[in-house]
Amino acid sequence: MTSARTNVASARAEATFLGAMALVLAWYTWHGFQLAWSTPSSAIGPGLFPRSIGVAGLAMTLVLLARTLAGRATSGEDGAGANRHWLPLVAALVGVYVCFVMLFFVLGAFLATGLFSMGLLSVINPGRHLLNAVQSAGLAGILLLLFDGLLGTNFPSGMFLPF
Amino acid sequence: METINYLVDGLAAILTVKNLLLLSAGVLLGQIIGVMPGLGPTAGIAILLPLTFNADPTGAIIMLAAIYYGSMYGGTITAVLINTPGESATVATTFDGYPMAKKGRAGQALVIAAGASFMAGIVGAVLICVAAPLATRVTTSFGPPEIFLLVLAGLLTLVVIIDGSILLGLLSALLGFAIATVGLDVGTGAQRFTFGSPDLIGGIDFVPVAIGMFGVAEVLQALLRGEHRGPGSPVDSSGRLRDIWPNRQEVRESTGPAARGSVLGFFVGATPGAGATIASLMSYNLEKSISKEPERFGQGAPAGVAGPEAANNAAATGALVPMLSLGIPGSSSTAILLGAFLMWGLQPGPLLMEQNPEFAWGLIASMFLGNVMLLLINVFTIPVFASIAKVPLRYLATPIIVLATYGTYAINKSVLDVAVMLAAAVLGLFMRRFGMSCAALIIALVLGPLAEMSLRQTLIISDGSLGIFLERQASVVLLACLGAIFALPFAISRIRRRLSASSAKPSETDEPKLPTPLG
Repeated sequence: MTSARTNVASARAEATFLGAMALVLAWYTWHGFQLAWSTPSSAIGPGLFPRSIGVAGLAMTLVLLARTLAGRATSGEDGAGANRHWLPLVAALVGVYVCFVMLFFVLGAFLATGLFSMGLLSVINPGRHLLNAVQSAGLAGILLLLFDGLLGTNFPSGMFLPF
Repeated sequence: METINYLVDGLAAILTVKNLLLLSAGVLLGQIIGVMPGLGPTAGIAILLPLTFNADPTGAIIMLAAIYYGSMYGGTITAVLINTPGESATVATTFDGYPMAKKGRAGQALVIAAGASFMAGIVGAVLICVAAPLATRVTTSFGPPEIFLLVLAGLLTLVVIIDGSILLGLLSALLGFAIATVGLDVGTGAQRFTFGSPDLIGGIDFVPVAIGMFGVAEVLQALLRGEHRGPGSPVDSSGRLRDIWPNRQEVRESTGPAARGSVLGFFVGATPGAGATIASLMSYNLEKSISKEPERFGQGAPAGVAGPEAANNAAATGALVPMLSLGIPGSSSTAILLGAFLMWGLQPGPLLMEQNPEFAWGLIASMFLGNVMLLLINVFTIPVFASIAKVPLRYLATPIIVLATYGTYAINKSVLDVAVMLAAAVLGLFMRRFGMSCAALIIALVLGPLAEMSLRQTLIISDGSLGIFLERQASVVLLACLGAIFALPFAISRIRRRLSASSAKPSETDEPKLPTPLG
């Protein structure tokens, strides 16, 4: 019973993914058709490749969607085993990462990296605060030294620290 | 005999303490750069180019060439250990290198890769000396139709070798092509899918997408699976670090593929535009096709590491042939090398070997020494790099994500690249979950502009007629190869099925599990 429910959920997730991809490809194809097929001198225009790719991609996605809706889910490497919190977890990880990138430009590379590392480690390696703090500080320092110092990347300076 | 004399002269020219130090530094720095996610040979040469400004032209080019093949191998290290190819040429190495690492044989996979790379480097250097004029003669007859067919062959090879649905593989490749169309259209100068953003005019770079799809997505997927809770890591580290040497069977299984990959890779690499990616994929498919146990491929077969590794390193050497002899860069890395040549007032092309023989042959001679150094450094550093496998995921995840972010930002100092990397990571998670191929997307993204440009040139030459592909001898040969690439796995599978069916007749209940052409 649980397995059947998981399969239905997996097929529904796959159909949603393929549906979203069909929408993106439809939008891409529509834009492709706004570009010229050929130039005034009868050479290939900028629209040839996007139109061809869009039409072919859309057709393939629709075939795959039809197959999924007909109960023939392709089930990728995680298909059956994916837990039902998969999507919220992805959203949470993406959210944490976006915060890191934003802090990168506000606090500077060193502090942002340290905070991001500390935050992530407190979730995936809980209870070892001292070790996590040492790793976070070390990671931020070493990478900053490597990229900013040796490779001359010049990361944006932060509000509180110049690096 | 003349060639040997030139080579000896070249060797004498580079055998100075300063040049040897530059060579060693180049190999080591290249390897370090190659290990960093996203910083492959192209980025490595570009970033380290200023370091060579104080050296003389010969020393500078020797160092840059050493960075080039050092970083090629560095990409292999990450491909094997964390399933993150440093650049597209090492994508094929992940197919079996990472499964080997997961089985606790990371050190062995890296030694096999180092040995194959060394063999390829030496074979490549010999071939440059002996067969460069011949290879140059062949590739000069290649025009846009042949280059377009070569690109198709590379992609078809990839789609054919993907485990799972061909339709999903093709869709993944089309997505890569679609991303490649973003930016300025090279033919007409029209902007496509840029929506007025100046940051998108240059297109979407392959590197952030590759870092996101292979580096960050891999870590996120492992975290989502809860692997950080266990004592293990993405790589099974049960093997002792001292046990880095492959056993006799692994050596035996790797020697043939490495030799074949060396020769194949060199000639594919010598074809302008084809490069190490196509060479490594062709080698992988070749080895899988002729193997008696194709089902082992993708599960950690040593031949799946040795063949592509030899091919991509030999292709890196082969790519120097059109650059040295024709002045045409065969890849983005050799394009930067070409820029460095011009910076020092040297014009690569047919006259280079005549006017600056000590320089051209010095570079070729340095490849022999460089590959010996690469092998020695590799053997000594493999335990160091393989020790990454002993670190649990909970300690590796954050550094990988941060390193990927820093590496992505360092390329163009662009926050858009970081956003592209994140988007690619999320897309990669979904693609993996639903059985699509990230590798096909990446390769198509890399080859997309070349495919479009060569098709455009082909149709200009032929006044819009596709018949040109059947009118040119080289195109016809390549079309036949294309058909063979597609048909070969199916044909072999059918023959195997027939053979197995006839041998299984006495006991019909004991039906063997037969490999399919798609894995």
